[in-house]
Amino acid sequence: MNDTVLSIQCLSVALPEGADRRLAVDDVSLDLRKGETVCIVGESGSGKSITAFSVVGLLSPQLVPVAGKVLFGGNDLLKAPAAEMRRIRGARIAMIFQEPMTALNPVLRCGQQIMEMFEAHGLHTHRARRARAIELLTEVGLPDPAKAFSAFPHELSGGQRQRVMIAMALALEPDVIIADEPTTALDVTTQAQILSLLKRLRENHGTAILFITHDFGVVAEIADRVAVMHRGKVVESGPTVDVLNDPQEAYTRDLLAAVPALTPPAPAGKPDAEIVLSGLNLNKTYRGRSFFNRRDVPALTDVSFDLYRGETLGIVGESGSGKSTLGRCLMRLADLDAGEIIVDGKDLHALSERAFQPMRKTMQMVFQDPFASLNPQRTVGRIIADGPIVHGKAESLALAQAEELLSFVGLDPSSMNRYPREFSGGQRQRIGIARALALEPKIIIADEPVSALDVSVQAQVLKLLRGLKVRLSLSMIFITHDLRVAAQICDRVAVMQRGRIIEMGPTAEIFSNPKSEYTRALLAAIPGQGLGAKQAFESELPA
Amino acid sequence: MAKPVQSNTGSGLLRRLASNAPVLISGSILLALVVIAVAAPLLAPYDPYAQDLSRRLLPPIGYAGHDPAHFLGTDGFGRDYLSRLIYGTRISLLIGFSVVLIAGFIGTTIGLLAGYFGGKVDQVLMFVINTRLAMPVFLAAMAVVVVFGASLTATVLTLGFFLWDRFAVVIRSTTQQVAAQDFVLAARSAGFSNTRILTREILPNVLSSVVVIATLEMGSAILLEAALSFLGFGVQEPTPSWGLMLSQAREQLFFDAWLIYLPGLALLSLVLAVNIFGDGLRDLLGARDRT
Repeated sequence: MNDTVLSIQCLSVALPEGADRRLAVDDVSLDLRKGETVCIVGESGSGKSITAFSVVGLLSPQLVPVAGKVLFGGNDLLKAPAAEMRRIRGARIAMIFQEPMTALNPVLRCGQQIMEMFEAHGLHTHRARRARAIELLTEVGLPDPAKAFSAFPHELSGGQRQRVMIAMALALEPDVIIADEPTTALDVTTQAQILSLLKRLRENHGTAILFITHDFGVVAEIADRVAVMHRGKVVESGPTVDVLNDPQEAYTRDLLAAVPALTPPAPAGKPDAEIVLSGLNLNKTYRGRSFFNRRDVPALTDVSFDLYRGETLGIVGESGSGKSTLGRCLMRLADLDAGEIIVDGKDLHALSERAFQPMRKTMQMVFQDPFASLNPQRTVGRIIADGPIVHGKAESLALAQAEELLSFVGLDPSSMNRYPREFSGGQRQRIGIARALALEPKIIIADEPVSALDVSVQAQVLKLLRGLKVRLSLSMIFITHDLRVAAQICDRVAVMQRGRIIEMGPTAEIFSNPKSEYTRALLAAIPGQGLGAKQAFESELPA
Repeated sequence: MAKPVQSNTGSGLLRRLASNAPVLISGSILLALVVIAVAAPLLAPYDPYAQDLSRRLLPPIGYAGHDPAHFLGTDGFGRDYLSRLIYGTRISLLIGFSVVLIAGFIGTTIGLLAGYFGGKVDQVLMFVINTRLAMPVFLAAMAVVVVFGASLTATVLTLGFFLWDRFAVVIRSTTQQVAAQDFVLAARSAGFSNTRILTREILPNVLSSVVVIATLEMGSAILLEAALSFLGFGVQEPTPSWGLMLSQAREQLFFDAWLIYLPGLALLSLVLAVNIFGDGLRDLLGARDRT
């Protein structure tokens, strides 16, 4: 019995000189059998994508395979000439990418892009190509295939675009599909749909899928076998059930332990009755400004909530639910149409910009993207000290405080004169937190602060945030799309959908007994439900 | 305590500079020309204004009738050609730097304001930019000269007030990109004033673009000065300007071609060096800003 379709043997890929290690991929071996899904899971920089890209010969020129073989249909793909690779790519090994918006050509209709697959390989007549494209769009579950055929990518939703990508990958009935984080850019409910679509297609077509992901939840949902990569090496591989339930390697155990559990920990203390912020009937509509596009998009509709002192209120929802708009409106980085934001008895929304300026100190924000949220041209010390200086603190005092804050968030205070580019994502996020704390705010608004981070780093930053909250008795509004994260850090959760809060209550209650249909759907869509349940979030630093 | 993952890369720019041959060569040529311009009185063998009509149109070295006292010969007034070329470097570089300083200031300011504020401010400033783009620099410069008279100052000011368009357009779009980043939101949420955000947060991030456009615009400013002087609308006699030297050599084109090609070569090497330098700088700075 030999149904191995793709065999990676002792593959090594060299990194350009000056990188943090010599080999991006170090002696990796992996077999893919017919009709099987194998997941390569790892954190960023582990070499998982490079492994996948070397299979199809799409490595960037600085990356050179230096050893090993990629056997496919009896040939070593690493030695195959370019023309041969072109015949194989698309026809026998197809790819699905992470970001369907950029992986599709924005100026071509979706149907044409599928037809191009046949055209490139010289198959079928024009009429047959068209019929086959419609057939494929039907198979991937697009509700109106004819409409999707003539739609441009931007006219479809993210999930629909990913279905078009999958249709393209399926077009030539490949033996192998390589999927590089295909659900990472999607909402959790959409992700669940795409994962079940991939499962169904694999059963119907017997296609083998090499699935790259960073998410153990996704692994649990889709993989037959899994290979865990770390710094270019496969540290552990085996059947998914074995690896997830009984990991042999310390690294795998650490990664799995960092996956936040879905069951919220018991509430730490009793809630404080003092309200620090309330939003009353907040409304905001994005208006189509241009002459041709006058469509209004409601972003917030009658949103009301109270934030108590010392609590973390989670705002969860999918993209477009208005959760980020809410955060920006609270910070007055976007203007509300109507409503009241009451802090210290004052309605912030009614204040003039000038009167609001001194109030900015009471609320500070932590941003999602640790790369875009720090000015690359200013030193870390300056970035932290600038806020207090603007609000009238003496420069020397502000810099001294910045140094303290750095060690407070777990960074070396000697980093003061370094630039953000010298830090990793997790370290940058700590700098962002220190900057928010510098103004001694009462309220922190954190907009997806851990979404861009690897799972192990994410756990550390969450721990830091929980500790800070307790030590400084901060109140926090924590905006996230990730219900696992919400379960771990929020005392109460508000679920948003299409600009409205549809359900709000203590986290444990929402998770164990969701009232609304939508919340139930959200919870059901979380991949790998059983994961992380064993891990207990150790109790935090003493107050 | 977590340490930064990389060492300080401040010296990285210098290291890349040293390994980039075109930037290194063009940079050395530029540096040499600046030294020549600054040290002109020490380097020039003669006074560039001193006429000696008995020694007119002596050919440079290598030609029959060459006078060893004048390495590159003399012009129609018997002035030492080498000395005039050396002093001409001063004019070209002076024009280049001061025009770029004025134009860079105007254009960068307009670009920053338009890109950061957007909306109405952007519309008004875009109208100003478009109006400027609709005016032919050369004709406008000639008109200014006709009204105010030709001089070095007039040339610098006119070119300075006309060559800011590229700064404005590029800095506007760069500013839009920078302003969309979260660190600008962070600055706003900390209560920074617009002035502070523009000068401390955004300007340092667009400065590398400013520098690159400055070098490219410097090349065109130098060429425009030469062209204006050639036509008699720029720097006036007896100031030694390369453009003016070309203009005076025009009648001798068929008899003493070296009168044309010496200042022509000087102009070519300066502008080429400036442009290659700017091009290389763009690659280097671009690589640095990609974090």
